[in-house]
Amino acid sequence: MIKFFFPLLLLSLGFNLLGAGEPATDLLKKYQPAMVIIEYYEVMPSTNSLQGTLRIKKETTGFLVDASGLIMTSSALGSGFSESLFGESELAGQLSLPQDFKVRRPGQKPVSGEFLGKDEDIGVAFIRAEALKPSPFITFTVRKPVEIGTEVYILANLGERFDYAFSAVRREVAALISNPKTRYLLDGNLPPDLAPGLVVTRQGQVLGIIMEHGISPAVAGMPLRATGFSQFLAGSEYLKLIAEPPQPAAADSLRKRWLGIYMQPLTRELADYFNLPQVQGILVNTVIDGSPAQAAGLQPGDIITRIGNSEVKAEKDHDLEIFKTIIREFSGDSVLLALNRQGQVLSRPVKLKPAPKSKFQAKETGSVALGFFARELTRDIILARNYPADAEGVWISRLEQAGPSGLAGLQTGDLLLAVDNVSITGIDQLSEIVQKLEAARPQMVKLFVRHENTTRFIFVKPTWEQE
Amino acid sequence: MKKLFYFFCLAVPLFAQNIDQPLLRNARDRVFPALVHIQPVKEFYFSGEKTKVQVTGSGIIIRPDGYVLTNSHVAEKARQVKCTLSDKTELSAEVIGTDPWTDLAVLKLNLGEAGLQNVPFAILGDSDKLQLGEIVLAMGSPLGLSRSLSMGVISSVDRYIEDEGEMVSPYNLWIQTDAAINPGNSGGPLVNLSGQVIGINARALIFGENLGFAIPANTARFVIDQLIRNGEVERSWLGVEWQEVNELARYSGAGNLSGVLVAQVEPGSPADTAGLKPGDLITAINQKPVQAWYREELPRIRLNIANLPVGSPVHMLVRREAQDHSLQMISAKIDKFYGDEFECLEWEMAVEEITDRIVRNFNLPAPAGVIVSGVRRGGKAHEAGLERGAVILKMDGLDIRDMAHFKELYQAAERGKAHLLQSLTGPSYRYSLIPAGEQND
Repeated sequence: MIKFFFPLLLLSLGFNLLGAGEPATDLLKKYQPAMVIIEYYEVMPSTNSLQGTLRIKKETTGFLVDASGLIMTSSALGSGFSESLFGESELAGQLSLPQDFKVRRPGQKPVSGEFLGKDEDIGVAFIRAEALKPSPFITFTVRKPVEIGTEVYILANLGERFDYAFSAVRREVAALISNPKTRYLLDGNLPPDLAPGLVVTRQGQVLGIIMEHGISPAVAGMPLRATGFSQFLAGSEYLKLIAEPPQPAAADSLRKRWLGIYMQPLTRELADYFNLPQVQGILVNTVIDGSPAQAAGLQPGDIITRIGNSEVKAEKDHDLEIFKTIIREFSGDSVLLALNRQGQVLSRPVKLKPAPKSKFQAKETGSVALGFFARELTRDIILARNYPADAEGVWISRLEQAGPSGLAGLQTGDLLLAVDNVSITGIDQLSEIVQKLEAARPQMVKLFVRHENTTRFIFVKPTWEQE
Repeated sequence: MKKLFYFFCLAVPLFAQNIDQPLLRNARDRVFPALVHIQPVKEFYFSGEKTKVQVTGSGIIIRPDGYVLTNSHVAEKARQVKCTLSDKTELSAEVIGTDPWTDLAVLKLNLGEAGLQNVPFAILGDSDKLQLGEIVLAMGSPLGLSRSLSMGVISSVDRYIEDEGEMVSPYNLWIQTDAAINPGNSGGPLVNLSGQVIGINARALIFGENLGFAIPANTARFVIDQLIRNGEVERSWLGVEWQEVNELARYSGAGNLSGVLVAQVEPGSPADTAGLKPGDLITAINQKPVQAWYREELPRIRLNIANLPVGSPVHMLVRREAQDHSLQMISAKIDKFYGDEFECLEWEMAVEEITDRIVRNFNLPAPAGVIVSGVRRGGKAHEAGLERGAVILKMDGLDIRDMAHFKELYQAAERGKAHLLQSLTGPSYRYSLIPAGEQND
């Protein structure tokens, strides 16, 4: 009798735990405590005055992912701010990080949080709210692979618009893609209100998170929503980041690595043209000046065949992402590349560098009396403005449109090449010049600027404050 | 619309009573018979394919043997030009030459087609004598409505218009008038009450009302002469952009600063070679003092240099850091405005010559290769990854010097083999493999 009852008891217990027939309700009950609401401000420079800023209040949701109050949410947070060097860098828009984070569970008192950073390659942002600890948190299940057809629930807090109601939507895993990262497609698209949303199995295992911005094209290979599928990265892809989240304000210690080439797939046709014995490798078409690749002696036309011990292969554009990901997430500094240069097999050690700084990490200086602020010239700005790679000077990042320099004809995005006949070589030097000007208070200041492809002099009458 | 219509009905008769009606009629009768309605068929490349389109404009006969003055933007890239004279005679014309830098062009009517020996022509007046408020007539074919006349006054005689994309006018100061000027008026004459052509209508302002702009007759004279004689206007080039000095004078506390400021020196230009630098103040060119207090004075300085014969020695007196220097340079020929285009039928794309303007606008490292002006969707070049704006620098490992060299290589390229093109777009190079074509017999 006992033998018979025991499994039955277990079975009924199991049913009770998961809620007989309605697993969604139970799953929500289980994961609700790990879901938080995040309030923050995006800060935009005002075009009317240099001191003024526009603060826009935003709200999103996120998930506690460890015991220390670490919260993971979508990299859509602070959408005007991007650390990515490969996206379009807009000149207007935000120049500072999102600020003043407040985090709360629905119905509870908000606590303050700290913005740690983003990883746009996999579409996540991290915030830490220590006041929330100890807190329940979610743990990703590292189980692979999830079978196609597996029933999953997407759990989300619907936000202010729906009075912070919790929701659960049922989907099936429709496809598995393993390169360059493991990700799954769900059958059909999801309403945007469900992002970020937790993807859990009927049994309560957390598989991943549906992100608002999804996975960047650099990883997914194509814009996310274009396909009609919702997709999510396997939870295992987040584990490293959760263990070592981004450091706040770590301007000089970007974790992403940089080789400094542009490349294209080595197609069968190209391999035939080059008389190669096999179709295997990546064709380097551009070596960026001052890059680790250049220092290592790479040349346009080289075919990279191996990185370390692994074969490199790209027959189509999408395959390039695998190589890009390997480089960007490389754990060491030195890597050995095997090359094919016009039939010769070469081996080149490369010392990888951190990815070049973006405008967000660039230092800014300027003067209210002159009516402009300028930033160090970073690669994203050079690309966005199609300036030559060796362009000099600093760029005008903020401008009071009807201020002294704005009226004299200066525009946002212009390159500042000289002030009063002194060539500008960097942002610190400009700081010194501005300090001297503020002490000397000249009636007029002469700027030499480049606007697109023309240079000209701009004469500015500063508005010095009355002493 | 109705309100506007009534306004004209009332205003014209009232106005007419106050002015000398016979004078108006006289002016009209002197120029109207020389008016030409022009319908050129333009050929251009769209998505790598040759495309034709008919446009409409105006012109004025300036010589009894059938030379017609019009705008460059009306006649450029035209293979055939259909003209309708004032008496509705239809005949064709030949494009003698175009000058995009001033937006002027000269056509020659094929008078023989209509059995004509001579045609009525208009006389060019002296545009320097124009006065603000002087009554003028604009004639032409606004929006294709031929033989139309409108009246207004001279609103400004020295309007300076900044360059904008293809709309450049470094040598023009424009005549502004409130006589209605609409698309199709382009190339038509602006006429004074003596019946002389004092300007060529060329532009109007979008969203503006009664803001028309004409090229002064005195600018046109030199251009007409050059176009009829050489088929082009040869201009000298030094590679300098100028800037007015009024603000510099205020900055340096010099009340009566004279000269013109150097704003930009093109790398590799005659001025660059001679050592001219941005910030230099030029006080004399070829021993003649130069002065540009306001920017309206810049076109004249540009024109004086441009009108020198190519290869002329140019001497500049330069003030730099409170010292006078003397610089000598030899003027080069200004590069053409539009590069030649070439359709690569086999590869399903069109390419354009790299002009100095393209080097500058695309920030190219050097004037080499050819630029892709269009690719046919799904064609060989497109499939190989070439896009409009890519600069093709190498073919099968050989550097392409220029358009002539490219054509040579293209024509010699074996159709039965694949060919590798190396191109540059923005910061990145790319290899594009054009697949082997089928061998035609």
